[in-house]
Amino acid sequence: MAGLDVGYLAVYLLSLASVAVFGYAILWHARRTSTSIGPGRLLGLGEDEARRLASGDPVFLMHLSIAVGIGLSIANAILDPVMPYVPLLKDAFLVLSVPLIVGLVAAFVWRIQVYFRSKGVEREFKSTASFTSASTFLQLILMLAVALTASELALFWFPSLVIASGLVGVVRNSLVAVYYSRPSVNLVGNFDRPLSAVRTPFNLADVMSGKTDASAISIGAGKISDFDTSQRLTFDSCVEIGACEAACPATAAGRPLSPRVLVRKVSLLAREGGGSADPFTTVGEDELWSCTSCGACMSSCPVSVKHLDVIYDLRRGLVAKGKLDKEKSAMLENLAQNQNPYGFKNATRGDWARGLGVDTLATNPKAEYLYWVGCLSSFDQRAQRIARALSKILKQAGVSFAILGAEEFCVGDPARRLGEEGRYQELAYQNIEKLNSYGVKKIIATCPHCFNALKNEYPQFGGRYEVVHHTQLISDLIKAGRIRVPAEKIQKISVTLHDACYASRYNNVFDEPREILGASVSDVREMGRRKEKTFCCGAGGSNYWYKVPQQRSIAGIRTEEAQKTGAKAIATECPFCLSMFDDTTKVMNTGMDVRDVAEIVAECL
Amino acid sequence: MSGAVWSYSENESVSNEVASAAADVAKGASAEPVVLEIGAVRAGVRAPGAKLLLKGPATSDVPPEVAAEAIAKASKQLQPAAILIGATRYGREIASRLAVKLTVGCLSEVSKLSADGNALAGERNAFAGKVVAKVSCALPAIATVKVGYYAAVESAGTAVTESDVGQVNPLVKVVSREKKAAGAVDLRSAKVIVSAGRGVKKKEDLPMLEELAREMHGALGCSRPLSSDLGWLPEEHHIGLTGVTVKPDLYLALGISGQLQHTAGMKDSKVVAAVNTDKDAPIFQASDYGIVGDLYQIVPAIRKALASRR
Repeated sequence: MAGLDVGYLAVYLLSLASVAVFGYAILWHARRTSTSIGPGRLLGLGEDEARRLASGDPVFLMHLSIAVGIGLSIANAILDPVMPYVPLLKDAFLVLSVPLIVGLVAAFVWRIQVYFRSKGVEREFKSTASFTSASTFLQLILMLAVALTASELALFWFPSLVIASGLVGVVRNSLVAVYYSRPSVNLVGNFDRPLSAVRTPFNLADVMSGKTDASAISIGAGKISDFDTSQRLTFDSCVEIGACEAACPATAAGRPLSPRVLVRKVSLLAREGGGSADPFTTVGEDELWSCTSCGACMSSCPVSVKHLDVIYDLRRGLVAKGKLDKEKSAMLENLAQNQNPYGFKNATRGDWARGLGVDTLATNPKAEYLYWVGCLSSFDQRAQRIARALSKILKQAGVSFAILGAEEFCVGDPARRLGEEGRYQELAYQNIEKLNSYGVKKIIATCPHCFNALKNEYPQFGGRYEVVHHTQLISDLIKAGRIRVPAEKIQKISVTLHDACYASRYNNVFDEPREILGASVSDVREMGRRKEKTFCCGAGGSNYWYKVPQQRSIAGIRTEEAQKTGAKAIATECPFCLSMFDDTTKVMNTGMDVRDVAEIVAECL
Repeated sequence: MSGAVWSYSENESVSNEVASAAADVAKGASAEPVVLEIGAVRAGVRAPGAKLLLKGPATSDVPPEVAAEAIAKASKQLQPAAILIGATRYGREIASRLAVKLTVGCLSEVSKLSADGNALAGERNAFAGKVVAKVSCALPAIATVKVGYYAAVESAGTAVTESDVGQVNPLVKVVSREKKAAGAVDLRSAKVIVSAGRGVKKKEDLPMLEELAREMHGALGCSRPLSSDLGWLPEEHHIGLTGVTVKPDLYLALGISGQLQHTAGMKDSKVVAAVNTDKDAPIFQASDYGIVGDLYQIVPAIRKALASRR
């Protein structure tokens, strides 16, 4: 018992002070950015982390070790004077410290690997010396915090070294207060914001009606001050963890984009150049166009940085400046003139259904479901087979459905992801007007991009429907026995499922397609990256419509993963994924077949 | 204002067309049409009306920034009511530079030009030719004149006055001129396109298709995998959503499955014929004629049939 020791008392008080500074820093950042960090939020965060813990992802476990390790050592430092009276507590701390020390040591080793990878990326991008040194500095801080926390936990075991332990804690707490209070606030504020939540700079209806002053709207970021407080909080919260960079398909394909480098560049520019600084002096056009909006960066970020908030606003800035090449502007013009991004006459949209006995809402307004076909399945002869397959399934199951035919317009997703918010909302409002005039209640979509927009984005503009992805409905029909695959019709092939980002990561639809495959093929294989950790096909975020410089194709990387499972076919649940793999499987001479889940089921009926 | 309407084009026959436009405008503005020459009077410029030779540049073959500067200098001195320039690539560059130098308005790619009171008016196609926009701009003004709209009127030589604009230094020095490498394709203007897809098994087989394209007086195109993924052909051959858009009289798709990525770039072709081993290949739905078969048998057969006709 060192209670009377002056040295001990001084260190103890210092340690309390450092915790208080950390706490104050968090409160300060939260107040400044109007972020709610109340007990409700903290509880929610705890639940969310527990959910992630169940996934057993080693990288997540390492990150958790850092957070819990810091928490435990702070608790230990505060409670130290009472420890002698509560021996059980001390024992509990000692026991807990063991897995945490293991996790922290693993994290430290992992950080070394991250360091080398990130420097490799920076060399590839020819990053400036000042960027690289700022990045290295933050990574060293993180390694230092990890090392200090691990040593502090180790010092638990040596009661005689309590002063050393306390001092280590003080240094670590100071680092944490300076560098990690902002990311902590960002995490508490944003952990549950869904990937599908796209920031909406204006509401077209309000602008048209004069409710919003059109001249007061700023669209896209042309200078740093165009980013609002929450965006600044998000890009300033990056502490170079590098999980986004490891997950990003664009980085993996050798495109000029790393989500880490992008947010850090913007953050450093904001710090050095102030509000008037032009982000396009440091962020390149191809860098922005490289993003497929797959969301892997945001869902892997341990501190909930929202990279896409920054990317979309910068893309909007490029659109506002008219910095669009031929392919991108042609897509937007096609949307304006033909209501589809390919330039086909929209009157021919329903032609795929000819002779199939599929109603339109105009002829059968009482249909229970609207089947929202989407542009690719309407106009691409290959993807039309998805639409035909789903129609066959629905008819067999006796589901009452109809399509809009020529009255369907593009849902608007390609325009929105490209940064043309106005055209997106124009299409959304036109579609919603039609859907509401027919009194549509339930919608089935085969395209995850349409599904996501209809389900998560249209409500904001007055379109509220019960929207299902076709895999969800088919799975329900199988479970309810409304469609039955007889045992002899089960296809004897090995299939691996490629999860579409906008179905799985964006909307948690990943069990249903597996249930369907389980009922219709004999051998389902899994790729390493699957479900909410799926790897993009390369077509999202409007990338289907243009090219960016790259060393290899994103779809090619994914096709290799599919090949490694030994499966003879790739099952898809998105017409764009299907189109991408249709090319790569042939180009790479894989001999693999690519089919939508709906096609596979329809073949079994 | 001197009441002159100037016309200019670096191309002799376009120069005669633009002079006709200038005559129309001059009538409405009760002004004189004047044909500009830079550096030297060209024999092929035979439009009626007075000629004004801008002396200073040594030849008529000058970079656009020199032509723009020369015209701007003369214009500041002589104050013409309007300057009409042929809407060639070169002419468009002169006109835009000139508009900035003189801070006057510029109508782009217009036809049916007229002067009405104090404004220069004309018509131009908008929204991909779906509507005709009537545009006007207060005088003095500049316009680029749609090439091929006005008939050239030729007459015997008329009086040439001279204006010395002094030395104008080019911003760009032409080091050398080279013709585009042989084999470079211009798919957009090709009447016949032979297009190769993944049905082509190896790069070494492409010369066979190039031969076929030549025999059909057409050009060789390809689908995305051949250029972007395999790199067997340069990007300029790539037809489709992320490549070029074409509308030839005849499109022959060989071993192309017919994904929208490709068909979106050739859907406006007049006649489409396809060869594919897969009878269910989507390309057949976008085709007028189709052969289910191996291009390695069909192509030699087509070439043989073409040879026997010759």
